[in-house]
Amino acid sequence: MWFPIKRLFKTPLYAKAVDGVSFNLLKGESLALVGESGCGKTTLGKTCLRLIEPTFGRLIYDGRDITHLSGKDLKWYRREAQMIYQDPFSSFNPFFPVRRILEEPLIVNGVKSKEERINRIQEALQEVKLLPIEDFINKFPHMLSGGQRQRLAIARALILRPKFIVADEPVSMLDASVRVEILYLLKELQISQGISFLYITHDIATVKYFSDRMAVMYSGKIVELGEIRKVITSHLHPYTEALIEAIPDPDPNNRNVERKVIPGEPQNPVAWPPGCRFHPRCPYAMDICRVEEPPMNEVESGHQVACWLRIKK
Amino acid sequence: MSEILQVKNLKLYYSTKKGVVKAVDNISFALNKGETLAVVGESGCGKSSMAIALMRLLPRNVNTYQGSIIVDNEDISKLDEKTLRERILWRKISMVFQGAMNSLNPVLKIGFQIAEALLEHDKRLSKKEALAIAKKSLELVRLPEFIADRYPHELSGGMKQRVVIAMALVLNPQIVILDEPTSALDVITQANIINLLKRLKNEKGLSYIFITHDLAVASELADRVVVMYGGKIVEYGNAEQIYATPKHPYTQKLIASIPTLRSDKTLEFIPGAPPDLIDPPPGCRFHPRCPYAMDICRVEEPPLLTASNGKVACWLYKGDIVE
Amino acid sequence: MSITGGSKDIFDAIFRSKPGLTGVLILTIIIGLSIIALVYVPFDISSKWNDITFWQFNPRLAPPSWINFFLSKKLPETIIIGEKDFAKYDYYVETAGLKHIVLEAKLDYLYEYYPSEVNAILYVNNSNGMLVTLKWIQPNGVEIYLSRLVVNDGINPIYFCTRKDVKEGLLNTMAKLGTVPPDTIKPEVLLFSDLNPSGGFNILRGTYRFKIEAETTSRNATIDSKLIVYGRVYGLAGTDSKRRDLFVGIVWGAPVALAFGLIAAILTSFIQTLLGTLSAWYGGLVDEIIQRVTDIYMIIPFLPILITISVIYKINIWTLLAIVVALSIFGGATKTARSMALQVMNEQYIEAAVSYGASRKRIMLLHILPRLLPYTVANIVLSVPSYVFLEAALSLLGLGDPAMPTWGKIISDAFEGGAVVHGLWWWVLIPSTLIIMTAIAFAFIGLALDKVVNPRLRER
Repeated sequence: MWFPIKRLFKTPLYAKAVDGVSFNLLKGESLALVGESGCGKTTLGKTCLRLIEPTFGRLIYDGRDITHLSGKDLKWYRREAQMIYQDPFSSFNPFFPVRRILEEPLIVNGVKSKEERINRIQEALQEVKLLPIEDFINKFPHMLSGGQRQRLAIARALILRPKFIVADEPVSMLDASVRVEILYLLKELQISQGISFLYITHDIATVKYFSDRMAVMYSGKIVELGEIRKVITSHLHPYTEALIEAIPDPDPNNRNVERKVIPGEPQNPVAWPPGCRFHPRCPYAMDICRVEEPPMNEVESGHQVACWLRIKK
Repeated sequence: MSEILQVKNLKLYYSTKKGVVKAVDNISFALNKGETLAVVGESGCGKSSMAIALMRLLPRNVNTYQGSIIVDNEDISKLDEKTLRERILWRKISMVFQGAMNSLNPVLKIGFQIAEALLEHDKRLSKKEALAIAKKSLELVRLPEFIADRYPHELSGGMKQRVVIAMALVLNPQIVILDEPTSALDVITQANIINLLKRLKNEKGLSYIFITHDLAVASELADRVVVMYGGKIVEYGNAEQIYATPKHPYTQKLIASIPTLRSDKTLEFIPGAPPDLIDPPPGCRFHPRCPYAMDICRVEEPPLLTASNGKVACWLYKGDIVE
Repeated sequence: MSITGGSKDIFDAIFRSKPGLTGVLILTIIIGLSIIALVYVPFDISSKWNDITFWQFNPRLAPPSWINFFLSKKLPETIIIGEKDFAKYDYYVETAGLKHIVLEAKLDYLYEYYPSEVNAILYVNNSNGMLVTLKWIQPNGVEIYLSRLVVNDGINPIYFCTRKDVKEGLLNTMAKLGTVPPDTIKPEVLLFSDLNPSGGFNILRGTYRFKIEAETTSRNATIDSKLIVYGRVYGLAGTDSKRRDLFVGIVWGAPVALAFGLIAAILTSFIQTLLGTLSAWYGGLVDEIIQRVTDIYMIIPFLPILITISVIYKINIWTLLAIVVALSIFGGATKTARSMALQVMNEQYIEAAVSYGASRKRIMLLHILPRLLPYTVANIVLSVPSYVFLEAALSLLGLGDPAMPTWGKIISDAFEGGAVVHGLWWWVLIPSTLIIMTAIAFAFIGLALDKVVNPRLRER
């Protein structure tokens, strides 16, 4: 058991971005966190890295409670847990060349010998295949393509040899044809270095290429959690079903039919509807859904769902 | 099927400090009435440049702008500015720009912004009339009337995109160019917008030019597909053909690189990077990344050849030269 | 791209645009002047500037000599006949116990205008008094008896133009020649005029002789002399009422103006930007305090306070600089820098830096401040002229450093010396032009930099 997060409430100004989320992340595992914008997945990701402090609940990493640590007490964690950002354009200091960008985390974390730093930088560039190294090491971020920049972001995340990485939509801003490259790279690194990943995305189509389990989030809560294949094939929660229905595969027959889509948009984090948060958009909503929130229920081994449809009364 | 738009030998080059960027390099295609033509390619292949070339919204540093764009038997690329603005732009062809939903003026109400588009192109309308038409157009995109009195920041991403589509349709054009209309949206919103576009097309008999880098999304609307690479068209044909039996190596690799939800395929990716449009590789622009590159590919640029019902620019195929 | 440009953009903007290049050119000239100042001008300028004897051989209120270029009839330059150029012979009469020394100097005066003054200096040594007769011989042979006087050891200046005996000598000569004397006796004119009745007081060009006959009892006595015929033009920038070579003053004023302007501008700009960034980055109470203090500062009337301080205390230029900076450290740039810093703070790489453990201080100094640098540089360049003008204005008001010859001080002296009333244009115009040129230089450079700071003006 590595990374249990129990009952995490985040209330900045009473906007409940993440409202009662619990899950465990196993060592060396890649867990996909799927949801649309505003569902709280980015907030959850940042909270896992303690870039935000949880309002309620606990964050336990490797047996240690990091929920309310700060400053110096948190420094060790900053070395072990890293983040890869979504926007390859603004995630780097535009004045720094590649070498410097990669050197920063090392300097900040006390790697004093210049030689060692250069070695680690070269190692990192090799791992993400930004080759030849001499070519890239002095380039500036604006000289690189989107894909190359994301590789740089990965290199920066890896350079401290972390054990846990949160990847927040790492491929969303890249071209469709480049996404797979980056995802394969991440998968390779996950396996070879045994890093645990939290892969945040809104694109379910990509999760099976990089993750083992997935959690579907809606309005600050996890509504379904389980092994990817199971979730996609049996999509127990109506929202999961809606998400899957909405994604097109490249098939020219698509144009002849209207896609089955649920109406509306996700609610804002200040005023959740009563009962199950998804009920206003749910095609299967029952009376109880409007009144009482369904609990998370294990339907089969390792597969949980929070929906009244799946709870046998 | 009658052709409503013909583009012949379109060229758009930009002057930059580093040299001349050949963004659109001799493109020819046709759009039939009531159909959707998808223009697909990676970023930097020139598809957005092609869109602005069609609308003649040229930037300051334009170097070359040639070719003919024929709408209703008229070559609109040769018209003067005034005629273009009064008769063609927004009336016959309009455009939904990339990221348009983020370019809505934050200090003006929605209704007013749509009305503004109207007033710009039809000076005879009064402000009141324009606002009334603006409200009706919201109906068209399935938004409630009260949205006209709201400000952009009060709307969600999907709603803003609907507003932008309403703005493009306000003068009832026949052709709409859509440049990545859904790339910034969530999946469910995206599906809703695509459904809307499908409906509008059928209700109003529109013809779309749909520009995107995502072949999966393109398949939602495309009747025919144009694949662009390095400023040139490399393949052009029916959607069925392109998706089932892609001919150009680039198209093949493109399709193989897209993650699919329902089927289990191993993804391949395309090694290397898109070509530099200032100094593209000689011969076929794709040859440095092509697994089937032959000697001729490195030397001579392949013309657009017909090959069983579609058109490909590739030396692997022998056929009649089309251009 | 980002809100602010990069340093390469700055160089390009300055050196590759017309305004930028012009500005740099002008600035180079001014810096050149400063270098001349530091290398060629005597070191302790402050004391020498106010030392009258240092400038005694310059004419008073003389325009610059280059105006001769535009005149058909040339104005005279100063001619100094030094000690070595005097022909000398002496003899000692044993019987009378007297030493006679005769000094004679030849002066070729070919100008068409009169000199402004004529002076002689007698250097006497080892005598117990000498009796000296001075004679002036014109090219046409007319000899004028100037004076007979007793001089002692030391430096004896003889001011021809103010001495009564010189005037009497002239009157006598004219009486002997039968000429009607003019209403006013101006020795500098008459000594060089044709005093014959038919002469009409026209200027006499030719070789003049100045003869000194000295008698003394002391055998070892020596006498030397200098004859100074003061011209009407002098140097590159003329002279002022105290005979000071204005070029020296101007050349010295250049580094002062530049230094004052640059130091004030750099310090205030940097501090303001730093405060703005601190304000944005640390937020909360720090933000509130800094912003409110800035508001108060911006309301405070700058000039009246400076005037008050200056009246109460005697200040030198460096104190003035310090006070100006102190009164400007919170200013408009604090607010602008704050909004720019806020924008930069939202970028993801800042958060990324937090995530790999960088300290707040490091992030502010290394990741945020550099982004504001182009703005700071532009601000510096644009505020230099204001500070240069400020210093000049304060000097003009009489509040600056009384000893240092700054450009403002020169203009101030000019006004006091009635330059405007008497048409002494070089005294006012030359320093003013330089101040304006400095301002223009920086304004042009600022204009060139505008492209960097304002991204919309940049070519796509």
